Amino acid sequence: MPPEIVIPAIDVRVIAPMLTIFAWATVLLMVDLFMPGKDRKLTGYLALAGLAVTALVTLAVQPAPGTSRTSFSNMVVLDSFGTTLTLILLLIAAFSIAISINYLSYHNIEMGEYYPLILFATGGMILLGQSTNLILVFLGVELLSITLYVLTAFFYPRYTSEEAGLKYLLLGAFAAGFLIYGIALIYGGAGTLDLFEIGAFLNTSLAVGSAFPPGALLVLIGGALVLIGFCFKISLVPFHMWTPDVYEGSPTPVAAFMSVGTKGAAFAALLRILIVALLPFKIYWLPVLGVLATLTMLFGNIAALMQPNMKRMLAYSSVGHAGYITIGIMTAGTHGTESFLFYLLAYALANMGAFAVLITLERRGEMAWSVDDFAGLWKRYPLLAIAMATFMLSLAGVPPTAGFFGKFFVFAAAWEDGQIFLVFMGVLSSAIAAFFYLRVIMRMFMDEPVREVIPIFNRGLTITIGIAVVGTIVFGLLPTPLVSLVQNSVIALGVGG
Amino acid sequence: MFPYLSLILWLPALGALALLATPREQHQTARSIALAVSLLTFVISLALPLRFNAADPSMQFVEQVAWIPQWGISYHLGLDGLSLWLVVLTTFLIPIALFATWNSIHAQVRYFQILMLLLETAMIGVFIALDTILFYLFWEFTLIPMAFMIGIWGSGNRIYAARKFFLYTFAGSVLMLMGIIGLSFLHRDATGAELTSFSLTQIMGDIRTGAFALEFGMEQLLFGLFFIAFAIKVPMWPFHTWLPDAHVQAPTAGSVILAGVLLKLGTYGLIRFNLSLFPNASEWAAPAIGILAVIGIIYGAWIAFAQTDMKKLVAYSSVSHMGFIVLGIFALNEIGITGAVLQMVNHGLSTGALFLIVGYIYERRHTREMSEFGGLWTVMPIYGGLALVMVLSSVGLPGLNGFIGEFAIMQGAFISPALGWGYVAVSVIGVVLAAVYLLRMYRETFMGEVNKPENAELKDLSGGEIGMMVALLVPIVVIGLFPTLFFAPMQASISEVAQAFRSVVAEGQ
Repeated sequence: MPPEIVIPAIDVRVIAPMLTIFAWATVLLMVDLFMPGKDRKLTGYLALAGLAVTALVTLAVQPAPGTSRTSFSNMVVLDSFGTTLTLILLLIAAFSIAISINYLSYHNIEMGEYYPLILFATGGMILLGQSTNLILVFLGVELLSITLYVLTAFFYPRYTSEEAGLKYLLLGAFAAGFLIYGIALIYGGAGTLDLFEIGAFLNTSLAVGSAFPPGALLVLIGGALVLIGFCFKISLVPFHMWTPDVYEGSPTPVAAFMSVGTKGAAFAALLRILIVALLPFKIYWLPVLGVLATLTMLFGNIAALMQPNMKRMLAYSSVGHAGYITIGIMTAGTHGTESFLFYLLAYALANMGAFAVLITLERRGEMAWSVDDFAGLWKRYPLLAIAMATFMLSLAGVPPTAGFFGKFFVFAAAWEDGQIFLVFMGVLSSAIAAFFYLRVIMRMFMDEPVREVIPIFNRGLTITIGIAVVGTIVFGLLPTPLVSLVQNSVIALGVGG
Repeated sequence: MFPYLSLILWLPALGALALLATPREQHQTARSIALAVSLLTFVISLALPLRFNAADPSMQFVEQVAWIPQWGISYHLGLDGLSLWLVVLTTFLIPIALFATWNSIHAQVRYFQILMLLLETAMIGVFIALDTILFYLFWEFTLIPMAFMIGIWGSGNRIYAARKFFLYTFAGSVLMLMGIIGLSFLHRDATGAELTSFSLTQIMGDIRTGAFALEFGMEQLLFGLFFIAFAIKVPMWPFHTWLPDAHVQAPTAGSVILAGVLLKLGTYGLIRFNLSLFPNASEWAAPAIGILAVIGIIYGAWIAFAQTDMKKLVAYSSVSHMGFIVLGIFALNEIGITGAVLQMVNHGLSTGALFLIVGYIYERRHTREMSEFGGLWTVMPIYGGLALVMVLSSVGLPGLNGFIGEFAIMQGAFISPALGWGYVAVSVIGVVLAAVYLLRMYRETFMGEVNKPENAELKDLSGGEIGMMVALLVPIVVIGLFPTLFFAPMQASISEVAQAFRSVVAEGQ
């Protein structure tokens, strides 16, 4: 009698959001192939529709707060944390596509593949947020990275774009090496790749005897390597070197997409690994992440001070923000998770908005994004200047903007966890950061124009900037609904819990 | 109950919104609307002292609505004897400042008025917010309109001054944010409550009843975090360097509000937060802070004496006068604090008036150098007379407002066990110096012969300018002659602060 093959129970609802977006992206590739003419805007609109459908599917399968579903041998989980994250990621992707549609044709780099690639990357991000198995984490990271290698090099007439793609590829491969080696060591030590089982393994093996069991030691070393792999993706200092060059070289909408989307997804996966699998090692990873977060906040913000180039400034500022988010995830308590999601959304609104403003000022065939172009913007385009000022204030964490509450929740979570020194470093570095955000505002409102700059507006940009401004201010004044949302977004700590 | 506080708080902001709808080029319309809104706010705010129950030391006109219930953050307003006059001072000075822009602000008029009204909302909010996060929100929001006013409508080195103003205060306030967070979590853990509470009255009440006692080291840390934020705003020596820059570059209306109200946010915070929440640390720090205050008094006066630019002189005199207020607060007794609060109002009136006086002559001659003037009294007699009264009020002449406040502060410092006669002895030198530099300014500009031909033809004050001066003169004289009228409503609240202070400190020993 042949051995019986047991097919594990499959709950398609768990992967429904991913399934939708991947299917949509694949079909869109085909549709694009047969689409007549050179105009590819329709593909972009169809991609937006795909994101909307995915969002609806996500809402439909959303589990009740505090409950979760697992499937595929517990490799994927659908919990309220995952669905909230998915919705935020879909919003980020929608912004990225909205600001791309006219950008691509204006700069003569319009190709239909662009939009499915964004969808694939978004699918990879969703996978990262939902996977509870290290192999799937790796799959998510690679899916995300490979599409982004292409997207960063998408501005092929520019050498800097190709350079950015190559740099990102090389460092990405390097990081993947760390990641996969770390995963292998963890498997060697724990005998499993399942996050829940790794956590259980550590709990039992650390409880037995006083000596440090060799299995746990392997997991510790593996965990450190996995952490290094993630540090590249979320660009924590000193693993951030690629960030400014890659952001500067890639098409601006892609830089915007990476600066919030990739980071958010990688942080979510890291958060899950830290609090589901490696929580018994908190005494080890807490000081390490604390040092990294401090370095990142200080270095990112100090480096941003020196940048006359807006795109590089935003790149360094995103490095600085990674430091704050790290504080949110390392405190790992309930308030830590909440603050991470809130911060991510507030940061996404402000950063996407700021990049969108940058795109309105980006000239064909030019590569300078000098802060000089912002000088005197107030006198000629007051609404654009007010929008940019709102984003800058939100990124700096000045009330009444969503960015302020983001910082407040992160610092509150850190204080609750007893990390008073980190709170101090956080407030100190936000005082430094205020310097360069304020500089942009001053140039816009208080200086005379340096040269003639005519912004280009189109529907996608206007809507993105509008939503970002309104969101930033409304959540800065009335964060209550958002707080309820993130409070109900709980990470599943056990199978089917 | 009728929500007086919300009405006074949001009316200016609504006015700012309405201004957005006016046509950009109609400067006169924008000015009139802004002035009307601010006058209306002032009139409504007069209901506060009238309906205020002077015998009740607790918060009055209280409004509380849940805002972020998950964190225990609420929209919580209230007024007590400490904040009553400061709110009225704010609503009183804003129309004067707006009126002063009539002749001095000609570019982007509408936006200036909008910023001024937004600033009014933010400043009133700071004085009446009883939730620490709400307080922080208003506190930070005062920065944006003021920085823009300096940066867009200022003179010369305005961008540098605006940036310095913003960054100094912002650096201080983020430390305060850390303090606010820490305070609430420590309060939650000490009282065993499930949720954090950011209600100032709740935390203060628990401190007074002993339900929430801080460990001394932690109390010192929190005290320090709040103190730095407020000391920068006051500004106390050695955090004062932003002030002369900001004042010199700011337009006249901006200077009036900056000196008149914004600096008081700092001293108000010192009483409301540092003194009320951290009594033991306050007592521990009082001698050192007293020394800083005295240094500020002497230093500010000394540097003011060396100035040739009138606006700089008045700006440095603020450093000196604010030093007195801090000295009164850290006398830690009723009389000292009462004197300090009254002196906040006095300084707002007389320094506001002095900035207007400098502004008038600057509009006529476009210089503020004292050597450019002389004998103005003969050319502009009304101006000379009014300026003399304001100078004397600032010097602290008995019969005018400044005397009462300074006297109470000195008395408080003298009997205070934390400070003592040594502090008073040195700070008296500051009073003498104030008379020296202010009267010297008066002598050089108003007395003597008219020695410059440009000055011979200057026009005396217009009706509107006289009106503003008279408006300021009324409270100056009334406070000077009938100080009890102003002392009475604050008495109950301040003696409660002082008594609670003594009892908490006594318990700790």
